[in-house]
Amino acid sequence: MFKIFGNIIILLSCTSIGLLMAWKYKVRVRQLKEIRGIFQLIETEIFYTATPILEVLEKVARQASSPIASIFKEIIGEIKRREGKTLGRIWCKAFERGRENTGLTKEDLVPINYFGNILGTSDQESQIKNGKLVQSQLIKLEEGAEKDFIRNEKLFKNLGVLLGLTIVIILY
Amino acid sequence: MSLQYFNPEAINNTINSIYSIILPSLSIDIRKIIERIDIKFLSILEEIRIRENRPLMITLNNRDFFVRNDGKLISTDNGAYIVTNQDTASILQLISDHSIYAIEEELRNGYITLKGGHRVGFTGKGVLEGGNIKTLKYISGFNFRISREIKGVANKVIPYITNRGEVFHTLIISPPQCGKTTLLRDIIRQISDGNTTLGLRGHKVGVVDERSELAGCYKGVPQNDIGLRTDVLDGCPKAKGMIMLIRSMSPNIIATDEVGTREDIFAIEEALNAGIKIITTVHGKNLEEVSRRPILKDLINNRVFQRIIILSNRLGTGTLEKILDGDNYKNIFYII
Repeated sequence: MFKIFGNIIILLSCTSIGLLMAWKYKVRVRQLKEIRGIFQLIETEIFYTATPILEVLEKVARQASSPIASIFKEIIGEIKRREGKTLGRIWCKAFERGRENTGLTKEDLVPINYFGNILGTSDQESQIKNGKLVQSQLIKLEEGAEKDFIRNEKLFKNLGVLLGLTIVIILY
Repeated sequence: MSLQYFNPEAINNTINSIYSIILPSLSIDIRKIIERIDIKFLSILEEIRIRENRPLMITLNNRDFFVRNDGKLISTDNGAYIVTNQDTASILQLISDHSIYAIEEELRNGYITLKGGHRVGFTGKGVLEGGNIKTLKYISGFNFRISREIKGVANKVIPYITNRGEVFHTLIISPPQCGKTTLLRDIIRQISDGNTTLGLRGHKVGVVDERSELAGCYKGVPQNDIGLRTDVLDGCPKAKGMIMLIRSMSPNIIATDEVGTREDIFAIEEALNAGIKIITTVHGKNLEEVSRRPILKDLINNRVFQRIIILSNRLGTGTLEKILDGDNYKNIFYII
């Protein structure tokens, strides 16, 4: 009786680990898309209304979904503290810390941090130019992430179940 | 006599604005050093001079001092804090609220106004487009000018420039750093609010604040008290702004700081034709010096101004030297 119960637990947990791994791929795609949308919004605000960055980020934090929104909230809090740090430093730190709760990889942070480092440091024209560059890099990452997702989703889901079954069989 | 620019309330205001506005705009290292400066010096602080790779300096009472790491003021640069590249980068981000793209106009003009009307001037390398300055880059020098709003400095002057509720055309002549803008601001406030003890009713005052010094507008809203009936055109060229105000806001009085160009004089004439009183200032030591200048000569010779106030810093900032009657240029100000 206990054996069967134990086996069921092993099987369930392995399956859920597999699902979690597969889910990370899905979330990464979704979050990369969301970040690209956010960057587009920031650029629009900069280009059409030259709104100060703090107001733009507050708008972003209101619109973004949960793990991303809290990263932006952290950035806003740091800016408001006015401790003399540059926006780039605040941005990179917040994203590095917040990444753990997202599906984003270290590779994804490269264009994201690049964007943060140039944000607000130049005139509108160069902001838009740099923004375009980041957009194209993000699209590339997104495409890669989507491929990874398609390739790995089934793999990890099946792998989880199979791993669970293997353990159960070995233990039996 | 001195117009008492340093009364206790004014000193308190200065200290407060240094802590709440100036310090949060400085890099952490410089902020800590300024905080260590003795409060009796901070209360009369006029400027903070920040130049990359050179010593940190401040100006008080028209004299400049180098500042050491521990906040001590010294007269030679030996041991003074040297401003770093990180300092200037950080200051630029802080004064622009991390949004350089939003201050392109200010970069072209070379200064920005902080909350409270404090002005930060900066220098760097000009980026040209078609012979005009498009923007500045590599910004490496800053000058923080502490603006002083001192209510009541014009108390002694108001009776001389008004008569039974009417205001005279008034010109203030003063060398730089003698409190000319501070005096003009308080005159505007008192004329706009009105003064019952003098029988002065409130007048509609239009202010063209080309360099955001008088009203200290931040995002279009005056930060200094410039009176209940005062309309401010912030950041507009004086001549164009005066004409705009005449047409749009029907002011009784137009006030503006530092006239000097031919267009300014033309706009003043336009205002005179519209029956508007003028209060303005001009750089100079005395009437003779001002009337030698080609552009201002006509204005003086035509006896446009009914009262001429002359300031100096002989007895400290804001020393009232003379008030001249515009008809005969006789001094009508005596210490009572």
